[in-house]
Amino acid sequence: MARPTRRTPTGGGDPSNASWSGDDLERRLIELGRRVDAPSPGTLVSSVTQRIAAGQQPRPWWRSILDVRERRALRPVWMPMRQQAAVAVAVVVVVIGGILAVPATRDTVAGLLGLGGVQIQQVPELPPVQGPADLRSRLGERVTLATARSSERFRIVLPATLGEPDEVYLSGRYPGGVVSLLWNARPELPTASVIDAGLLLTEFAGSINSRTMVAKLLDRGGTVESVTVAGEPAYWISGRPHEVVLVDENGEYVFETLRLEGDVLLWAHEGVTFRIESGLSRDAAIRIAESIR
Amino acid sequence: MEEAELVDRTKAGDVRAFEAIVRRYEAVALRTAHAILGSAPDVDDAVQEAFVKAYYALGRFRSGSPIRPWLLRIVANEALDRRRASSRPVSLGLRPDSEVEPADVHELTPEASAVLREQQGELLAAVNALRPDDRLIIAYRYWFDMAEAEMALALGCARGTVKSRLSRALARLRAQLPRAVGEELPGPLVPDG
Repeated sequence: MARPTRRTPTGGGDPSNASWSGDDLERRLIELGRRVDAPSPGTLVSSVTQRIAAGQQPRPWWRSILDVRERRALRPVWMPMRQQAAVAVAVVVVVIGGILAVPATRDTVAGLLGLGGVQIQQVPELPPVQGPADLRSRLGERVTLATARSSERFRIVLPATLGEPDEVYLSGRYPGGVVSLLWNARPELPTASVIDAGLLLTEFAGSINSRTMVAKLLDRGGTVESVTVAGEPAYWISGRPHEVVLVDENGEYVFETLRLEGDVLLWAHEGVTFRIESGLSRDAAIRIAESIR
Repeated sequence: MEEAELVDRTKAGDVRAFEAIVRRYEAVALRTAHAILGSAPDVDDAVQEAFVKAYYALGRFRSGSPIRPWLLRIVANEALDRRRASSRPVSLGLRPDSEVEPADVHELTPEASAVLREQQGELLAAVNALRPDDRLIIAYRYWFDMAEAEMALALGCARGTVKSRLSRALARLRAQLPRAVGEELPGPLVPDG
């Protein structure tokens, strides 16, 4: 049989894996590269240019979810996307330091904290941001609970003490999706001024290691307290407004922010990050969080 | 047109200049996303998304620096995000012999060619089983023949880190490979018949 001669292994040593060692494996990888299938460009160029052209039209729906503002020094800032498209958001530490000219914040009270898909950073001063006009329009698309349950990749869970939410919103801001659940104010659920509702529960899939990440900025008046929700680490953010900041996939700049003013309980469970914003006390918020099933 | 000029024109609002950039790098961008995602419908989407992001991020691109690794970094990040959200196994495939350049196969007998193909299938299965970032660094080095400096830019790491990351990826690849089968491997390039 005309069988090709084996090339002398260059790796030496154990002959049993000589073929896969050193140069030989590398050579085979190079050969493999010539054989691996490759996608053909197709209509990529026109799709890209069409989308860029579309970006000059009025804002796509998702851009109104968050308060968007342009920073002259960092233009161009937006990326128009389709609804399903994931906004990749990334590590924020350096970025925010740069933008606010506060490079070192680790010595501040909260310093840098991370939990689930969120990083918290305390800064001396919040960047200016337009006040939220209508929070609901920023939460995404209003859907039924059943729709949200069928379309999210993670299991949506509810606090047993509250029952079903009055309103449900879905947003495509993050690769894993975000669901926002609103409960109307009622006697045991005082109106939280900013959200104009009793309680807002946000759930999204994401971990601190992924680029699916949100940063929360606090100014020095805000406090972050370490608490636990059913034994898992959690943070209680209170006292002052804070901002949710999204950063692009290269972690280079802030492009959207949303000012929030209510007190917030933040925790993560099995890969899903939870955030409760309400007018409730810390302990009451924790009780609701712990009733989540 | 020079790359730097295309970048400057794009920054000045010339979408046609960006179109030329996309045309120049679409193939390598697709191969990058493909190396991460495998033969998934997401590949085209991820690259599209990445180019649109690149367009809007170009204002922050330092004129004069190489654009290819900068673009590839955005493409890879986009693809890695999608890969994370996916549970499907990665399935890079082999092209049929007829599509492979004759220089690669003409020296082989049909039998040797079949053996080679089988081995490549095994190696590819091991590559498919790797972590996406391992597959990416292997593709950059061995499939795209990228130099260390460009790899460092494309991976967003220090030059010194490239080598160690690559050798860790190779170690994990080796661990995926069947040893006994590896021993049987004939060298494909030097036939004796």
